[in-house]
Amino acid sequence: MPSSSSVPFDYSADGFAVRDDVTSIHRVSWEKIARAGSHWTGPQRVEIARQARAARAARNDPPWSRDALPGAEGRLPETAVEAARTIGADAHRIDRAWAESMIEALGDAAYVELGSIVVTVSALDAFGEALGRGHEPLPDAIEDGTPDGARLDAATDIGAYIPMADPFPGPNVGRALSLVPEANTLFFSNVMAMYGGPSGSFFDLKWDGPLSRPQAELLAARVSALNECFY
Amino acid sequence: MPAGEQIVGFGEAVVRGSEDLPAAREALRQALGEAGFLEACGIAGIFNGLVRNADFSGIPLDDAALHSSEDFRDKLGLNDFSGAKNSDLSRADASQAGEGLFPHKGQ
Repeated sequence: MPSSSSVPFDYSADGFAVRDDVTSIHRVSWEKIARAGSHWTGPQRVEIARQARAARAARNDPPWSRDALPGAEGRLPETAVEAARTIGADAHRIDRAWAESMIEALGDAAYVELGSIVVTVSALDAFGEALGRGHEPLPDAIEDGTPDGARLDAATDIGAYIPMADPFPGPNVGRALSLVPEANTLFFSNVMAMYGGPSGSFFDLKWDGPLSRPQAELLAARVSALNECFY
Repeated sequence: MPAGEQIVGFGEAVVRGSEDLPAAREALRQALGEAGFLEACGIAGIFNGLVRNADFSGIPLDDAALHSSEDFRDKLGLNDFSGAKNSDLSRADASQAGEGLFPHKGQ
């Protein structure tokens, strides 16, 4: 478990020399999740994070035996609870029919924002598990604030479940969240810090970290394959 | 590859959350040193987000990857993953492999 520091993600207090830029973006991510986004309120966003974390922690259990998952107690629509849990624990089983049913119920931009929270929490939780530090307590939701409804006007259907920026100067995974700019920033600020080295870049494929590029890609490929991710 | 065995073992233990994670962690530390271990934690962490990002959004495989992976996807069983349905695999053409992942770059 993390130390009882009053500062979130206080890696140094737990003896980990995590780079400052990584620590900083983790703290910013928690601050952002606690606040109203573009389509969900702060309390809803923290509840999405809570549902995703709990479901991912139960990912090795069959779906029908996850009775102990916490209820949302009215903080989220049931469809959003299902979406957060499925993306957190069973993303590899998602198909077009399921995604379209979620999007029909939630709206495409709310689905994207929900997904951005789940993938961010999953990444930061997995980082804590890899370190041996455990999970950072979720942030306290900021009650004030109204979702601003922002979405990319020029989003295009590229054959994915959701529309996104097009053209785009990078791989499709880099534009998957582009329908909701705030959602895109939330996750990809972490990608840029955690994948590419201290002055590297996910998009430029620069690499100057302590691992060689082949070592990094071997690890990435193994993690992706075990998650049964085709992309 | 240097430390390849430890890297693979660590990645598997993180994804599975298995009981051998502490041992895998220590083996990787021994093989890579603390800085390398921390970098590996970052990659293992962020890819647990990236795979979910790809799967919930239903993005198709980028053309360059579609073409360059044609000769090994089926052998490795990757075409059996649910997300394979999001890409038109019939378009794969190995002769077009090699243009890189960023065909728009520089335009």
